[in-house]
Amino acid sequence: MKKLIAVALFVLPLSNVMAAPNEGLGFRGNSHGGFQLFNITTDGTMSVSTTSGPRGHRGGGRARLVLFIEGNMDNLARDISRSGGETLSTLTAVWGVPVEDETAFNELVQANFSEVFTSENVTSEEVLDNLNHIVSTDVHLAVYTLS
Amino acid sequence: MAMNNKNIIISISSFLLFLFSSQSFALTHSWDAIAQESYWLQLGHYQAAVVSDWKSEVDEDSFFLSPNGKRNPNAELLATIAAFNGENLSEIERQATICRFPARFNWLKHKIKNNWGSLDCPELQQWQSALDADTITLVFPTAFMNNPSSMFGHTLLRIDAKDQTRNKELVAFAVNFAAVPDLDDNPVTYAYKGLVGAYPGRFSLMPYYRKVQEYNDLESRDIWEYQLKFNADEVERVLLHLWELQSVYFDYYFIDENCSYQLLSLLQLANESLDLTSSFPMQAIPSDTVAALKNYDLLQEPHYRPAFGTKLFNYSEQLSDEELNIVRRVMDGEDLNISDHKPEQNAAILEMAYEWLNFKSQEQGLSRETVVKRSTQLLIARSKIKLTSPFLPPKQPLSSPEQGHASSRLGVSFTHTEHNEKRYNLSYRLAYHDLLDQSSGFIPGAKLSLLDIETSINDAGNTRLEQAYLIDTLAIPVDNRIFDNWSWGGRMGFDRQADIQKESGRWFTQGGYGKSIGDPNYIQAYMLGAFELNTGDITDNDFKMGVGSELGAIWKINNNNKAALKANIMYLPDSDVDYHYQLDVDWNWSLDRNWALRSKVRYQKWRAEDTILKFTLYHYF
Repeated sequence: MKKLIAVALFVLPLSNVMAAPNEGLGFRGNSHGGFQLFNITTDGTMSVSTTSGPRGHRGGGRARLVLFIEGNMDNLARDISRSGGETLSTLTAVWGVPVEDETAFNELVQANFSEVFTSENVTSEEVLDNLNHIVSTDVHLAVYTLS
Repeated sequence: MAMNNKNIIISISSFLLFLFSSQSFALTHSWDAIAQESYWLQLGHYQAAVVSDWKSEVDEDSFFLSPNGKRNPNAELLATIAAFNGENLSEIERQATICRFPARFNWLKHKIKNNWGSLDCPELQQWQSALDADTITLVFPTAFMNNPSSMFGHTLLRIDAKDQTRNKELVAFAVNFAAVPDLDDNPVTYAYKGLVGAYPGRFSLMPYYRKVQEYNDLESRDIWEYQLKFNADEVERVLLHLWELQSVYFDYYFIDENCSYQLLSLLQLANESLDLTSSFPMQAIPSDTVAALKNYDLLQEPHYRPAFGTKLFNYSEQLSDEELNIVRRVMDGEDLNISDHKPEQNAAILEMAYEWLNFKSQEQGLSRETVVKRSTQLLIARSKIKLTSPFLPPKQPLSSPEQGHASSRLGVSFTHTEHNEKRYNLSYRLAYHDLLDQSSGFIPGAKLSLLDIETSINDAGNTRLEQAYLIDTLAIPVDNRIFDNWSWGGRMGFDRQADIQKESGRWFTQGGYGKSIGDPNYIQAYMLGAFELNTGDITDNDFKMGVGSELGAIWKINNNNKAALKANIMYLPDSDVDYHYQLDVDWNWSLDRNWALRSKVRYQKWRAEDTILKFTLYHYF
């Protein structure tokens, strides 16, 4: 009985279905690809393990950052324009920027917003390259340049 | 001597025989006992069944090592032990089986004598080190403000990594249980298959930011996060069982075996003393998931993630009318003259314009092209102001969902009518919340009653049905400076109306649409234009329609007291009476979380008029 009654009101929580990836700003909500994975380590793209220290980057760091930017493009742009916020803070943590340099990083990327988000159709790869370039040209933060 | 030897040999062999048989008897016996232990039944997701004693909810042959495993936990236990012992298996096959079922292995290893060694599974270890799990968090998105049916909602888990030096919740893993639908099905097939459980359900992992975006940003639902009080061993047991459930499908039902239920069936494997699923009162409701965990004292203090709409409203409250007017113009494309204001003001105006534009575009489903140019311009303008955000974040609400009343309700009432008739009533509501129930832990201005039934008996011993509402819902989100909200409501079922000499039964359905103003945490008023269709004794079993209005005001006096004035006035164009109406004055006094006293005075008019006085004691469970 209760099944019959409640069913009409029910929103079936669906698995995320693989969607064509959209690049650029303003796609909030067009969720990207399905990580219906248990074998997260074998494809190496979605690892929560931390790379410690700014200079300790291994090959996986870049792929992880691209994936994070792709999945958080709008919120990241918003946070960068305000030089703060959870998405930007997560980016710097994944990037490997320590807490004491976070503010400097945030202010640097805010000041260069237009160079990071060069158009509303910018891709996540381009955003990372632009961020990395800006970091590499900063006297203080250049040590965090990704290889 | 030879004789003696022979005797001794016989004695020894019979002793051994005795020993062996008694031991094997004891073992069989203890294996039977182990197979009936709740932890083993939980590992196999066994439920008491009709045809056989047990039936597993897992719908996947590969999850069972015995061909009878789905219905026979004993056979499955014996097959599991045989496989772990390596009977008829190569060492590689034995190891593969162990690594497929690490939770069974770890548990059985301490239950029976064995020489199995310890877990040695490289893939599993890689997976565990990638998760780097420290704690598990239960994630509970609350209801949509304007959709009470989402009260049922969804729950998921988050696996928090050990490195807590930085704010990295967004990249933690979410564990989600959901149905996997067939994309080719049309909506009718989809609804039907969902109902009968034809779509399989399964666990999946995804980055938590995806879920935050889905609930916080897109659906604008506040999220509550409860870290669970599990120690390292308990976290490991849960994850090992999650590993066993990879690629395993469950029959997916909307109600019985939904996401909340499956998450509990996973979490209860944290230790042997937990039994979270069998006491689950109304499986559909995520707040009951929270309650089930609270009963075992497993919840830490919750953490609150405000929804997009909550943040937007909070920002607007920090702006003056004049500033909001500038925001409106800036949103529409006007340049902000930054020399007119202080930098903090400019930053606030530009941020608000960006957020509001995005909120509207989502709400109205605008195409990306229509807003992306303007919103990017707003971000660029904002980035030129060298400040962090001037807005204060929304405050965490005082009461969180686990503090709310339970979802089912039982009531006993005493009723006195103006014709001096006394009745004693018994009422039951399956779910969930009405506007007079204590609002702690529930979103304000949303009512949803499912199957709300009341019967009564009078002094002469005559019993009758007073009311049977299949559904009774009302959503009254208030209008404010930034949200143009509409209220709506609907009701369907049976009740009694004042008739000559008696109260006649009425079957009806009613719907309304309108507006609400005020503050749901103080005084809120609403008015809906309404339409109804009536039949039953009161209309002499004809179908009679009515048009009119449903309106009311609710006053939250304090946390434990609420009063309401409600009216339903309906014009009956083609009936023997011109109109009918009902006026209610209610006062609800919450004695504690799950007990309340409610008094009601009702004036009712249809063919005749009646005044009813009613006192009810409610218990929520």
